[in-house]
Amino acid sequence: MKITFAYWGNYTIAFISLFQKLGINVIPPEKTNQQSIIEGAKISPEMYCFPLKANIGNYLTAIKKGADTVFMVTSLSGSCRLRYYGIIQDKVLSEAGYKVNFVILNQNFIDIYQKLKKISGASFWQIVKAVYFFFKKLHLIEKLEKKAQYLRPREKIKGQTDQILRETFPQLEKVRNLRELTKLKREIKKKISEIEIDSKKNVPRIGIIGEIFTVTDGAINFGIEEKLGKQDIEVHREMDVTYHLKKIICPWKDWQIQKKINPYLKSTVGGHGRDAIFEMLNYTKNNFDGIIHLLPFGCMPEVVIRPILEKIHQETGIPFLSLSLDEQVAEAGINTRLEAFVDVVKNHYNNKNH
Amino acid sequence: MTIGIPRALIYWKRPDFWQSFFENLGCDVLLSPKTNKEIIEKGVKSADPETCFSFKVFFGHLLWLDEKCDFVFVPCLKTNKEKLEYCPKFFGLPDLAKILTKTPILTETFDERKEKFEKTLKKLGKKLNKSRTEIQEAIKIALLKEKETKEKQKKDFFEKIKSKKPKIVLVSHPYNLYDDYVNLRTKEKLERLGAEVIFIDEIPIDETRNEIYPKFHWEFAKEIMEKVQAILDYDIAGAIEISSFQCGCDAVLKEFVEKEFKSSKIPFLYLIIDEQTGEAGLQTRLEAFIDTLKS
Amino acid sequence: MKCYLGIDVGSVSTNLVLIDKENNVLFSLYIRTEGDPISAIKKGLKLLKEKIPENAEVVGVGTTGSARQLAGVITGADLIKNEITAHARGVAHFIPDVKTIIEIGGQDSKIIILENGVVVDFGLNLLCAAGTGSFLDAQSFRLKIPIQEFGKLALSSKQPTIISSRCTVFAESDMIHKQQIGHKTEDIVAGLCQGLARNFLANIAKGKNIKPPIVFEGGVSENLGMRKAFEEALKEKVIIPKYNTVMGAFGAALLVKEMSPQKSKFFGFGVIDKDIKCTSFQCKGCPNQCEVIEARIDGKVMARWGDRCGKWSNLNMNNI
Repeated sequence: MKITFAYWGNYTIAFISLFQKLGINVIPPEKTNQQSIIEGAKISPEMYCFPLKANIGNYLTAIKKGADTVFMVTSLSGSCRLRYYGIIQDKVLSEAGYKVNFVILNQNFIDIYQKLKKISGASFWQIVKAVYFFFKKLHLIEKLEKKAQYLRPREKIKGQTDQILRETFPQLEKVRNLRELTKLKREIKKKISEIEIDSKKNVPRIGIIGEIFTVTDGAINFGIEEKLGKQDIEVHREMDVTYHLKKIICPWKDWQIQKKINPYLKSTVGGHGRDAIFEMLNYTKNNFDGIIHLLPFGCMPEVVIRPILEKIHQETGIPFLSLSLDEQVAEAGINTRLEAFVDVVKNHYNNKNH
Repeated sequence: MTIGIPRALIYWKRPDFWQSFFENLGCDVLLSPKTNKEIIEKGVKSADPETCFSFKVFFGHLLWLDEKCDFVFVPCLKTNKEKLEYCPKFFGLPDLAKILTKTPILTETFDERKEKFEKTLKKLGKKLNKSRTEIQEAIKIALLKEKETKEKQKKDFFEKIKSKKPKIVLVSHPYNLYDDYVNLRTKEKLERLGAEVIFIDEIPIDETRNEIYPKFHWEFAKEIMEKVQAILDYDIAGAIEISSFQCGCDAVLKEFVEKEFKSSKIPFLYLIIDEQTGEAGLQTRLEAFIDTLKS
Repeated sequence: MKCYLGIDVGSVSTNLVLIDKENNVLFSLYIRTEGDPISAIKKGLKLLKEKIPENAEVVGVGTTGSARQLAGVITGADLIKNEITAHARGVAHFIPDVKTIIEIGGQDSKIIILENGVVVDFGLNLLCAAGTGSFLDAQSFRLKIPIQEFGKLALSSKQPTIISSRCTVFAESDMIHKQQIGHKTEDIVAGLCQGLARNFLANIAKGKNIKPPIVFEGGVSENLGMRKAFEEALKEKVIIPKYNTVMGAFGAALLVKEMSPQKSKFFGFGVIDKDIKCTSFQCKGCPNQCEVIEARIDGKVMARWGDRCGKWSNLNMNNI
């Protein structure tokens, strides 16, 4: 059995090592690109949301290399279409003539544990160790992403931070055990400390909010964090895997969020709709200079809450840009919007500070 | 006191019930008119461009009622009696309505996972300063009225099914089926082409249905899938599914509805409607579809 | 005399504006891009060279529009700016207290919201050409009425026909239908203008805080029927400024003047006779598979762009 799964930004690296540690033969998907998106969209239902099409494109790249089983983590308790990703993707692939097994994992730890155990035949300890290693890598990835958000607008040689990241991630993929990981961490730390920065430089800050897949995967959002960083913007993003996992472990977080957003929305709308409102309110309170809202075109939860985000934007005057992404969106159009938005944000920032 | 009810979306889920309920509580009910061009334009102008056509129609009705009544009734429908969810877009409806209107919104959350329907209705009635007995009486009459319509519908169904004409099932949500302006009088067009039209909504289902695949968490999806299976017991000539443009739920549902009909070798036509859909284009497709049935 | 040149290369038109130190417009030009931005830029520069005052010296070049990168590379621009900022700068020069700018061009259209002469919000058409000039172009072709006469004809209508008009394709079938049932041509034309205005407001300007003074510019603002349609839809006066069709180029010229480059990188008019080629290739260096665009002048690589990692665009320095 050769398994594959959907590409998901830099986190893909952590997922690969999880499967490898369990002794599962894994064929990772290729990084999402225009070509794979087109291939995926070709056989997917037209009205379905964008991440499903991108996922299908990912599977196809791995199936071509011999993958015969797809792992799909989905939320069987949510209200949005993600709930049906597994069965629809299974249907799409089989109707297009691909013979693959689909293993649908629900987003809860018991279900994931049981299915992983059954497939890998690994012992309890082996699974615990693999998961521990997975989280170690994941944590490092998220830490690097956050660090880069701070460094990019301040680096003296433009592009230096991203150059280091580009060298680091493939190395991280090759790391097989904790000892190697510690060694790599030390190297990364050294490299990063060598980046010359202007630490006194004041830069405008933009908060990125929206649907988790579009905000976390640079291959899907045209590398928005890099682009903004290059234009001297410090990017902040709450939404990542850790944030998501925390919410699964601590269900009361949803309750806290609901309490904060009550004047705007009194109910869940599925997905991460409430979180986007919550984060926008937080960023506004913390005196940010702009908000970028990313969503897959027609995403049900995000489209429902967008008028509310626009209302907050009207009330507070914080610059706001909403970008819907799908297989038809061209990078040139996104660039124009981002450049213009950066001008708006810088104006806002300068007016505020002078 | 006048309560405005938008004649769109959730209204069509229980058309008899809401009007009767408020009237029997002693309120005047102002129902927005049947969908027309002006309403659609208002809705399209004020709704998010990426939201579904049905939502745009709803906002048009909502704005028509604005400043014409004391309250506009926009409930937050979450789960039904079977604890199945409504479309997730419904959850945010009262909050979105609030942004658009000057007239206050009368709302209550109907979540039968947490609270019985009757209990929520009582809370709603209390907001209008009605007594317990008044509310109970109003619920009773409204439910009776609803039952009456349902029974007539059932009788009509068995009449229709006996018809010699080719029978065509129209699969869609009630807010598309019963709104003639929205569906561009599809029923009338089909009848003129010599077909007997059966709405999926009208098909009675008995309690002993087998489990359907996939197990939907959406009330409408489960109902539609069950009814699709029920109608397959009868002799039908073809099936047409109508979706609102950008309806996220239908993107899922369509895959399985189509599969059911196709695996039973029943011709299937899928139509997507929005404010741009032209009468002429629809007519052509329906005619062509009827022709394929004959051959 | 020191002058500044603004070049706006869009999908439909290419515009050039030359200003002096006092912001006086010495030269302005509006030509069709006709799908070939390089030829259009060359042609524009050639026409400018013929008309440019003898004592004029170009000391700064700014480019904007969807082909701003390309235009910048082949002319040696000092500033490459997105069209939203450029248009806003241009309009704010003539109407300093402007709050709303409606710009409709051939294939794109935008709304810009300003406060104190500074952009605070904007919207662009994203998915299709609805709400842009190409909608009217398509219909004028069908009606066999030159687009220049559209405005005058629309103004003569007393009872505009309502035409479903978000999408060019659907509008066409509806228009045929309306012609069949005997609507007058001027009413249909006025109806099309209203439809475009409605579309613009429903899609591009959705959720934007539209306040007067409202300025309407871009190629389509030449059409007086459109101005009337906007005035009716917004119930506000709509101002059409001077240089309404070349505002982006004017804004780019102003912006480069304000930047006041020490020494301009402008290549001069020599590029008119040079062989300029623009090609693209897919980089196979990583799974991103970026499409890298390459501009060559007389066979020599001038610039590469479009890559996300900087592998190609950083090469530029060594080559020039």
